[in-house]
Amino acid sequence: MRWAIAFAISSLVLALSTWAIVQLPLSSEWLTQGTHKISSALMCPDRPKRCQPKDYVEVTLPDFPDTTAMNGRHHATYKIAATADHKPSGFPVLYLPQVSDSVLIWANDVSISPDRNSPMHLQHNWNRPLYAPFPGDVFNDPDVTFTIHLQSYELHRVSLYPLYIGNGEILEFASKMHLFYRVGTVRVAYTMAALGGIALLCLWCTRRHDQAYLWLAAVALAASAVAAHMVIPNALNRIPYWWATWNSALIWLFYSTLRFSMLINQFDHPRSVRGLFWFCIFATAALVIMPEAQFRNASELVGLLCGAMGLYALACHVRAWPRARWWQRLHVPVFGLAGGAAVAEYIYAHIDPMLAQTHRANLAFLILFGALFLALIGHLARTLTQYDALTRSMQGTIERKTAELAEAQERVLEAEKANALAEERRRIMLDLHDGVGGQLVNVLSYLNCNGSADPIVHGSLEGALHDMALIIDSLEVVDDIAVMLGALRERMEPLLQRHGIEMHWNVTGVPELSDHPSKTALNTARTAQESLTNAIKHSNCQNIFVTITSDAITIRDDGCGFDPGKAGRKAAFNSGLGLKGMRHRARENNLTLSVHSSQAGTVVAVGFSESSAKGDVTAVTDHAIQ
Amino acid sequence: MDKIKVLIVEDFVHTAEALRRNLLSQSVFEICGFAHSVEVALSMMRQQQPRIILTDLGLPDGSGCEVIQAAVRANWDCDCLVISIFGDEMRVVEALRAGAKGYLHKQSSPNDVSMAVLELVDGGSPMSPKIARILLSKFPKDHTDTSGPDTETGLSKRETEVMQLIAQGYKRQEVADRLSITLGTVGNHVHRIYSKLGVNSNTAAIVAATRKGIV
Repeated sequence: MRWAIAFAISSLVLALSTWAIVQLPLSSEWLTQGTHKISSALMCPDRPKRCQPKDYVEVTLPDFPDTTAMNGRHHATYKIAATADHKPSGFPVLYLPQVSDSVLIWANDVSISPDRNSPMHLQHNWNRPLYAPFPGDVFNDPDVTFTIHLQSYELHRVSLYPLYIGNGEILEFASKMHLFYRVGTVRVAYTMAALGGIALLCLWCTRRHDQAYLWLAAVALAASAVAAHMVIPNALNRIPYWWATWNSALIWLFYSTLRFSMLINQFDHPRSVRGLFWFCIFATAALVIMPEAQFRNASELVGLLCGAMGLYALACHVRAWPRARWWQRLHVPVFGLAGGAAVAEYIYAHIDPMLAQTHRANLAFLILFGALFLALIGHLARTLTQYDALTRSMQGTIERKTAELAEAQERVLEAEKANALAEERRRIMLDLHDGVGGQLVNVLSYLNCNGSADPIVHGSLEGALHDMALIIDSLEVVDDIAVMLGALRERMEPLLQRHGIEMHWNVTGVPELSDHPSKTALNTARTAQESLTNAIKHSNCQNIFVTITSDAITIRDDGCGFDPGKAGRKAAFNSGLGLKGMRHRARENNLTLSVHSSQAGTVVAVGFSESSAKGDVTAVTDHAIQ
Repeated sequence: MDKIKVLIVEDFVHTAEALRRNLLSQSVFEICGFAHSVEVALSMMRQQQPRIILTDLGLPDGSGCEVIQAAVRANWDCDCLVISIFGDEMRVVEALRAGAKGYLHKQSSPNDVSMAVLELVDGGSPMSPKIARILLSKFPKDHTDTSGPDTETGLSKRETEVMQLIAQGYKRQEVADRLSITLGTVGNHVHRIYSKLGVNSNTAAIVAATRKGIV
């Protein structure tokens, strides 16, 4: 339904623009209709001084005569009466800016172009002018009748364009200027179109993801093929399959234009496009295998096919109107005008072949190609905008990724450092374990085997072994005090058994030491070890109660107690690992140490949190329990 | 009854001698040789085909794990026990994964090694807090099924609780009291955890048979 409405609106737009184009007063005065006069002065409007009235003769163009067709060629004969007020100056010529393939001229029944009456098909470039010099005495008679006989395969080519009679030198100069502006310009434009097509093709090769370049290259190249017939007419007829090529180029010109338009406007109708593609392929194949005699009818069908594609393109734009942007909506009037011009030309060609030369078709191509190139510029502008946006996005991404990479590198470096540190710790641990530890165990084994173990030596060796174990623990597990204390308990187990002491273990929480230096865990464990050793060796206790909470470690025994002051001084003198050492470690590690001793036993508490330090003003002080 | 042939792999002479004495206190064991290096150990292992190998891990020419792997590949029944000083639990776990059936402390107590070997029967290898902590980290949390029943790869809820308590320093009996289960059940859990690590129950079966012979 939407398509039907779109086609209806498109047809309406086309009809309106055709009507508007027909109303345009185009250059119909160039044609051989009517009886108005043409003077050669028109040919040199910029240099009126060089075109004096005595240099030319005014003539009156005749109406288009009835033509006859013989052997497929059209024949037309014009008789032109010229009245000269005076004899033209200089060397007189009859100048025909545009004539058909074959022309015969008589002046007062005297042939002045005998060599142009070839019975063969003449390969004359009808865009080129013809100079027909005639004897100067022709104008001895003031009334001269020129008879011009034209032949051509094309009906419209037997029309007679304005002709000029006068000074050959002046007319030659004027015609060269004319040639430069008209035919020369056409050829330059043709060359530019062909080069543009090749350039677009190269551009597409470098940017294959952008099919817009491919289709526009196809448009330019197909247009070049079509225009070749106008630029170098007659010369191409000798090429085999030229007419099939020309008609096919016209078909693909419209198809490529349609595809380009759909692509840059992002119309998505794949089934229609695919159908049209195969139809164009079929039409091209049909043109190739078709007999030449059928080309005239085939050309009509080609014209209808191209018109249908143009109407479809217009309908696509009309259908997309509601959601289109302003520059896309501009395509509707532009396509409408171009289509109107083409339709007007087509209608004229069927009403009066002479009217088909009103250059409305040129207007259609001018509008169409103008619109196409504007669309290309818009496409390029959008591409550049997208490119800029993409570049900005990429730059942002690169900056972000660079920052992430730097962070990752930093993390990797930190991880490498941590790995190196861990590796070094492990090496030290293994050296201690396999070297020092092995030797200590070996000596202990030796003493045990020989039964000569001195208790002091044995105890010292075991103490060294335990201390080494603590160091190894601190190297491997620096923040898990519960595990370190568990390992300590396991190692103290033989000592406990020897003294017949029972240990009561209670863990209600795990101290969090991640905010403390790594040596805190080691020093805490050493403090606990010292407390346990003191309790085992000196308190004569039966039970040791160890309580681990998230805030503190408490070690309590039911032994005989001691005087902290004396014990501290004694320990300090003896080994440095007694109470004084415990206080020193606690102070160094920002821990709180509390030692309470009485005859009922001793309580040693190590606190971790700030609150425990604040709550106990006697932290790091020893006092006896009375 | 045939005696159990034991090969001792230890680079410290007096430590090896102490181990020998402790083992020979039980008549069921027969020491088939001492090795002070990996090379000698592999050679003696092929010649003597011991039933049990006690091996240190840090040897002059390599790691005791090489001996353990050779024992795993042996075409006769041969199990390895690691002799360790405390503080080397990470390497002990590696040895267990390599195929060792358990570990003993070299100087852990005056108890002789033979009794320590027999203790394996009650629940596989002993498990120290550090080993429990390492094993807890070895089992991925995704595979630690704390809510459901036992799985092949993960730990059951009860096994996780046992491991967590051991890691906090509790002895087996204390673990049993806290979880209101028997000591044997704790041993079974420990044994299963080791099994999931790659340790099977061959050692336990052998030692159990040996113990019957002794008792």
